[in-house]
Amino acid sequence: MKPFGFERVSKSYGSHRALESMTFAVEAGEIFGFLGGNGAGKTTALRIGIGVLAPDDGQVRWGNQPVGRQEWARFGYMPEERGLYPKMTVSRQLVYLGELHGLSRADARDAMLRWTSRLRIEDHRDKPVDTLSLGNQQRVQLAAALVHDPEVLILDEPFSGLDPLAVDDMSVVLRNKAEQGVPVLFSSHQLELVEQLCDRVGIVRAGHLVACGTLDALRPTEHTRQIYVEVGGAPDSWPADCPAVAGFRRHDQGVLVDLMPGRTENDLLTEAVRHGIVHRLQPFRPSLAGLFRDLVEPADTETNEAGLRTHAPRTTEKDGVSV
Amino acid sequence: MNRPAAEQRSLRPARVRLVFRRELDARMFTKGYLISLLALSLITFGLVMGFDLVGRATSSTVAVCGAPAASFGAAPDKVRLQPCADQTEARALVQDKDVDAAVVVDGSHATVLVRADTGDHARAGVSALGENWVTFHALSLQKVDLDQLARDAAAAAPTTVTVGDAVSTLQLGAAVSLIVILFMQIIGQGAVVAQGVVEEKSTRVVEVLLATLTPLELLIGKVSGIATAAVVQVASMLGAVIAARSLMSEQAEALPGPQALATTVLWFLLTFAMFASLFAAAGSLVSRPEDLQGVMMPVMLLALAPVGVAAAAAAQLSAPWVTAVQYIPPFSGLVMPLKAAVGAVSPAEQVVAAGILLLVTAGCMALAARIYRNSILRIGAPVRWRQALVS
Repeated sequence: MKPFGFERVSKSYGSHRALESMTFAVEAGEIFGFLGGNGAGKTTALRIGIGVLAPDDGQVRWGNQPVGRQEWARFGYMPEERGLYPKMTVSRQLVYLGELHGLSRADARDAMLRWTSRLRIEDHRDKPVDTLSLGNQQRVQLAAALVHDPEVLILDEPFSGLDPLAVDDMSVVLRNKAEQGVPVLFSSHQLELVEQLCDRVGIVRAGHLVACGTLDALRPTEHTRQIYVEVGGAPDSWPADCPAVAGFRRHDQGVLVDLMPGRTENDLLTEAVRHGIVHRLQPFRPSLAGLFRDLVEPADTETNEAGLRTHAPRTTEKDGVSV
Repeated sequence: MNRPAAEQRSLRPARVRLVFRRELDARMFTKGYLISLLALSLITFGLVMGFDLVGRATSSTVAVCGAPAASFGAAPDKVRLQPCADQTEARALVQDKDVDAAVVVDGSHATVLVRADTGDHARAGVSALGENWVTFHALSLQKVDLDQLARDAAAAAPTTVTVGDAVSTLQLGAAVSLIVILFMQIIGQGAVVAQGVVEEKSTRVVEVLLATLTPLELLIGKVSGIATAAVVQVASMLGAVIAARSLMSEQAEALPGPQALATTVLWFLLTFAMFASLFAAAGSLVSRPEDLQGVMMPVMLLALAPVGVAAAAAAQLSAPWVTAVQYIPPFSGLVMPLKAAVGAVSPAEQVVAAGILLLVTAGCMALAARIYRNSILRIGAPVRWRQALVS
């Protein structure tokens, strides 16, 4: 299996720049999550990735080649707006899509039988799609993306509208595909899922890829790390007169503390116990949601960023600002 | 870098065939389609038969009595003779409207019986019959050899020669109704094309399809599938026309013959291809079926124009402006089969007009493919025609 990626892909709709020189790669067997607010350009990027839209500039690459029509037939795609013929039966639909992707009729039938069983919709094969529950329609949609055994998977919000059971099934399928070496690219709003599933994430804002990397790499680095402390019975401002504290702000039930250079958690602890009962003291690992918020919500200072990884450290600086 | 232009335009027949087959499955093997097929055939059959009856109503029946039938001479055109016993019966027949008029000969005198509402045709017929008998009677009194007279008259009988290219109104009427039916098919099936495109767009299935198909492949497969459904419908209607024709009596010649029908179907296909692509382009502009009416309007008007022109042309098929318009699409698509149906146009003229129509159709398809490609993924407010063309 070959890696898949974008090379300086740009796209405009009239005067609106939807994508600005986007570059990233999804390695073979890697699950890559696309995060971003509404209108950030995720769907445009995925549509270009699958060949539904042509970029104004740049290339979609698979292996060492720019992708063409023949290769795109080997990709599997699940659009954000689910789309199937409502009056067509599940089996006909899947066989048709399999054939469109270049399978023979017999192979397409086999694949249809395999995937409907695998995704537990075998009882619905002969029903028109619009008589199925929404959850089952989603399963059919996934089957439609997988029926031709794609070598690249691109899914736009695959988890939206799924019940927990279907989320598990979907996750298993994506992992299996990745284990077979398929590069998997998907966008999602469900951050916990992205956190669980993805090897790497890319964060998109206003058509730029503002951050890209493993989750750990995107998190604040050692020298800017913060400590979360929960002290029962203490006033909110207790760290104010602690010598070990460089800055702090309220967070959840407790406070987030920046240590003075040279101080350690022990110094903080000895000071904290004087203010009340210490329930918790742990290094703070911002959730993906926090990261996401910081990266995606437009900050006042930035006007012209080049869409580079260097934005991640900048974000951690913002995290570290004390009140 | 854009995708190479050649790749965008290249057609893969296997993919087009798949789209075509799906379209047939979705359109033709449905209860609705089969029912409408049956209904249309029946309606056409009924219309043609009704047309025949209207045609027949111009014939009249005249009762004759009191002299041998031969003494009334040959009956005038579309006048049927009915024997009767005497003046009383003849009077009753006329009064009861069993016959339109009667001639009663009483010895050496003839009486013509008519009602106040007897039509001109019957009046002319009955008075001709009366005159015939009077002449016959007078000639008999003169001892003329009537058999010899008949032979001499037959030998010198005038022959009728039709001059100019005016066609009988009956023939023209049949041709016009046939073409109006075909035109209704173009509008009706054109709307189906537009709806099919919107359906794919509104259900978003188009995005899945475009991941494997080029817009042109999808467009061509779709239009040809729906065109096939339309042609089957047209063929069944024409079948009904031919069936009705075989059941009909004297008016049968007024209807276009099989050859003219075949020509008409070819013209229909060409015109349909042109309009179908425009309807598809219109459909791709909107995201919801509710918005369809608005964008279809210009195409509908364009499709209606030829009907008006054809109706005007029917009255004066050989007028110079008609001869010019018969080459201009989309008018040629209706005017040509109209002229062909009544035999007022040569094959060479038809080939030229068909060539022009073919070129324009190809242009329309290219234009439609461009509009389609530019708007098929724009979900939301209807895309303007101009926007879709430029971007």
